Amino acid sequence: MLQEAIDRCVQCGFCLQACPTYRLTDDEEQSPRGRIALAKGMVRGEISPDALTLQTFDDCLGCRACEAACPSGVHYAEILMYGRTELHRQRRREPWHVRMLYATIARPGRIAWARRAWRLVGGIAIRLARGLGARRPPFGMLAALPKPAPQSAPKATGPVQAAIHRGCLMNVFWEGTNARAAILLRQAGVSADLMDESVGCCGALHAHEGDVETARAMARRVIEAFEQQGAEQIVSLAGGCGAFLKEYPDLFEGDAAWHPRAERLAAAVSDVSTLLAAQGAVPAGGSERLTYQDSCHLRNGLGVVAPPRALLRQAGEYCELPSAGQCCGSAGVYNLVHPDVSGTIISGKVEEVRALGAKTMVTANPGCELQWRMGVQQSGLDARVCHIVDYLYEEGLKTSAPSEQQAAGTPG
Amino acid sequence: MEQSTLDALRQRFGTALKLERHARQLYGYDASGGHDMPDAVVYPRDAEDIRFLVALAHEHRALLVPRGSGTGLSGGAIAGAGTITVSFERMRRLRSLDAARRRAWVQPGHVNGLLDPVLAPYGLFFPPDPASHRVSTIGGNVAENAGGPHAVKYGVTGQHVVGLEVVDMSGRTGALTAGTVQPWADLVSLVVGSEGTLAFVLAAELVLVERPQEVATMLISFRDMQAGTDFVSAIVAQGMIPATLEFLDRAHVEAIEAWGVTHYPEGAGAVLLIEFDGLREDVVRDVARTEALAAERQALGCKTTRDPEERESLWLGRRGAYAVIARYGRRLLTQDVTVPRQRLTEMLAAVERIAEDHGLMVATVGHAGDGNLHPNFPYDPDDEELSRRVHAANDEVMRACVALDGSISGEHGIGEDKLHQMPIMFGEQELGLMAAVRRALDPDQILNPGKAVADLPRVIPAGEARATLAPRSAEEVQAAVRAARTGGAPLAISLRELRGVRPDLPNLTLEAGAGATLAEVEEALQGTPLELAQTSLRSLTLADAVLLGDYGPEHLAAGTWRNHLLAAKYVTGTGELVRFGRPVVKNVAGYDLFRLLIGSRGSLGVPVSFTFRLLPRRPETWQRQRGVPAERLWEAVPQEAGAAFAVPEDGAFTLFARVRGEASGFTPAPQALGRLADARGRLATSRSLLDLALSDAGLAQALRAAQDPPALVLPRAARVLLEVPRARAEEITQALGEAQPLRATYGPRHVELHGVGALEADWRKALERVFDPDRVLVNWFSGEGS
Repeated sequence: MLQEAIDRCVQCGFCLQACPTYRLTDDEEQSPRGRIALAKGMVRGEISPDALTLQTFDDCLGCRACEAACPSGVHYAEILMYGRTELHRQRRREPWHVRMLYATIARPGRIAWARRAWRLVGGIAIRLARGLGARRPPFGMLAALPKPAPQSAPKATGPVQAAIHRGCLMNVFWEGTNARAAILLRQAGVSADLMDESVGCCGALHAHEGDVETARAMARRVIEAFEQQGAEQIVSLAGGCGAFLKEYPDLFEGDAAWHPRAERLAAAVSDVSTLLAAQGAVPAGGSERLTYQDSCHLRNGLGVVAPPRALLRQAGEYCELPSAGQCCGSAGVYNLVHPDVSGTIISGKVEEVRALGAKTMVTANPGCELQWRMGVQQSGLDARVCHIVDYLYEEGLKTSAPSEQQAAGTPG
Repeated sequence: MEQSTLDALRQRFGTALKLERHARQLYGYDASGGHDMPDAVVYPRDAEDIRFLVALAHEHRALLVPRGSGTGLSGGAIAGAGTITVSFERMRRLRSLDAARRRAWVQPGHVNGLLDPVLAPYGLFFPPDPASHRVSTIGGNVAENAGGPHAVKYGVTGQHVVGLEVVDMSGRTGALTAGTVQPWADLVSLVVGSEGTLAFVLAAELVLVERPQEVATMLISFRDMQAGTDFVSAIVAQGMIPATLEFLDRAHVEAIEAWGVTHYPEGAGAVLLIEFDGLREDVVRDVARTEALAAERQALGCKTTRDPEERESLWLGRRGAYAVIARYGRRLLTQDVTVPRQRLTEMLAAVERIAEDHGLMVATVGHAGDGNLHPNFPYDPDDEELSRRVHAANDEVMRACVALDGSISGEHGIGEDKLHQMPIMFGEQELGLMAAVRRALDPDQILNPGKAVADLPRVIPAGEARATLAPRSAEEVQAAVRAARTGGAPLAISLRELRGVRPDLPNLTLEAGAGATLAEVEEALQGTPLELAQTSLRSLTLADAVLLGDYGPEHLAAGTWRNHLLAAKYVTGTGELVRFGRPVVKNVAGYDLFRLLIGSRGSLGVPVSFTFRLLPRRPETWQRQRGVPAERLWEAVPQEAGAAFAVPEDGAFTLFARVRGEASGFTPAPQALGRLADARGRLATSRSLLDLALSDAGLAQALRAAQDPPALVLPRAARVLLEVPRARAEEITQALGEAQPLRATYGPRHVELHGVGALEADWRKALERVFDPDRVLVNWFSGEGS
């Protein structure tokens, strides 16, 4: 409940230094506490929800680091959602590429079409963008994308334990990563399979931009597909999507038919590192120095902090990035809409990696990976950036018999 | 606010100004739950900006409210109509760091918690750690005289601030200094804790502390509160002073569990968070003693950790203790009472009883080690009847604490929340005097009005006027001052009959008449495990030592009088008999008008009695190093030395340092110690003690200027004491010129040669006009001992 989230805040200010936009601006208006107070004022009708007031909700990265810092347990995501919904209501006009993005991911068919198109032209498009020396989004982003690397995972035969939600951007630009996750999980003894492409996007990006109606329609498709598949767990390789699946019940607050179904799905949300670590999967150790960037929503939304680190510690010479828990500036479409703030954040982080001397930056979310690729490319740092699934797949798992036995012992 | 005012602001501040309604609304609240809305918000960047604001406020009749991160819990930063909020969020710089001297100058907007990463590589830290320290600013900490868990061992913010650069309400910029280079009264202590009502702070000089060699954190749980508080008393009774001694009740334990940052044993009704730090062997010993005590007292659980990550998670839970209680209600009223340590159990029982009487839920957390409790009452502000009950209970809690000789605010401040409860703790004379001090420094009441100290009339009681040369009671002192006032002649008085010494060992405090000598205090404490860790000359009376601001070489470890004085009762030149301070370590109610006396040379009042804090007595041992060259003297002093001095020998120095520890080491030759005692006792003869605040380069320069080596050098950190021929002293100070970062002063009973800053001189005049308008106190103080 929005009102409850607002009431919970006692304005202690513990969130201030956790907030990336506050740290950059030193301005209460750009802080979680300030945003909550504005939401409170607007709900009470003391402040008019004009564009100027709402701007800060647009500026918010939505990383939810404030939630982790909050002793009172304020559910900031709801406050942000309220602000973004107000913004959406005012029909703010997004840049053309952002509108195009939303239009594409809203329909599963369009995503599938985009995936096939990207396979064909992705390589050329990236080379073209690089050749033009593009730095600013959307072309700078295009230049930073990984080359299409499709991979097929054979369909699972028996009952599926973990259903992998393909997502939107994941499915277009990282389709191979989705498949590799299924392969890795099976190696670790989890019967995993990809969900059908017709499921489409989870709706997170639409909801975070305030288009809650469209997001609900998209969520219903995911819920129905999950129920039909009958899997125990639903896994997303994008931290933001995983956290949003977990929040489906909020999306259907007061909807007698859909709320319980959303709750069942939310209870089944899992994450790939958590599953692998729980299965006792052991990466084939390397000696490379690597580091890791938390996905904000994976960390602050799903509370997944230790499992990816545990895996990476065995995979190479792991060193912790000092600001690992702080947002990289990707934040959904934030880097498309606010390239300057976002660029300032990532360039500071790239310098941290340089100081650590790490050769690989491992991420857990496609948005983060892209943001880091841009940061690394533009600063000329000699380091590769990859998703944790791709990293583990390349390094390989020490296929451990015990885990397979374990899996065999677990029915279903 | 008038258009012309806003125009002037716009012209000066441009984008560093906010006028939009929604933005102003975000600068009208703090963590207390109160809210209002200022007319404008500005972000100054330097002294010029502040002086502009002061001038503008005078000219346009605007009010100014300083603000840091808005984490205060008493409404001190709340700003309403007619005010300009002055936010220090863009004055966050660390101006300088001198690791060798362990000093840093920081701007007020510097976040407390962000100092640590800067200081850690130098092996230093800044001890004050209010729960909000990760977000709160140094300026806010200074304004509130913030405490925090580590205050039990290291003291509150005021103890770690020895210099301030301020802009006062006449628009002047100047420096205030305290401690070893303090020209007159302790004006730093007056500003620290004044809740932003006396001056704007532009920068603060912080005293840093060496990081402990070892830290051990213990989590000890008990079934109920009584067992927990009994355990606290048992620890104090053993003469252990942990770095922290924190207490959480069941409601907090459950709420923190719900937050999920840390875990406590099941069924715990009270949890203590105890930390020991220091030398490894001391920590190991104290932990072992505490563990044994926990076993003996059948604690529910006792866990000790030395792992930094685990420690951090234990602390995270404790720091969020205020806000976690928001899980129980929409609004939270948090209390902040402090009582003498041995009254803690009584106070807790009173809180329980009051809550029960009013049918309220109460969740109590506290700094048990220094008697500071935070009973939190969650409630719903829309429920009028419930709100009324909560406020009634709140009032009763404060009355109960005052009845136990405590303070109504230990660390959160008075702000606007407790302004109306000040009469619970202070009489009309004290309230009137504080208001007069405020008026003296801010005549137009521009700075943060309606907070901390109410604008009340001065009350000067009439009564018997009788000249008494050696009064036996406070009333007789009062009568003598009145007689001097009516007679128009300066007061002549001796305090030798006011010499009772009353140690309160369970509370680790001592109260004594102002005429008692330090030797008498020492005598009273003989055979106890405690001492007054302050060594002025033994023949001095307490009044002499405190009013002179005298200090011995032991100031290295123990600090000067400001670290030990907790309360004073005195008679002002107008005949008010006032008592400021309480026998508690944490007390931020009203202005600090007791530490103000330190160094005041009797010109503010005649002291009747003082209360000091005591520390566990520890054996000590001397170390000697021969052949130390002058330029290495600073670094040659052991970090933990309580005292150090050097004697010239063959072109270099022999350094003597006293360190705390088992008495097994070397003892300096009697003649060397004799030299030290003699130099401090023999005054104003052919040689002189030159007291300088110097950098390394300054020390070398001073020694060069001295030509023939001084007889004695007392080096360390900010200060060096040279014994040189008197004529040479002036030459040295002149030669030092620019290299001298602060100022020179002379030892006790010496002529002062230092140049007092214009601001300090003006404040002195203004305050003396308040405390002694008829100038009856000009002659009574000789500073010669009784």
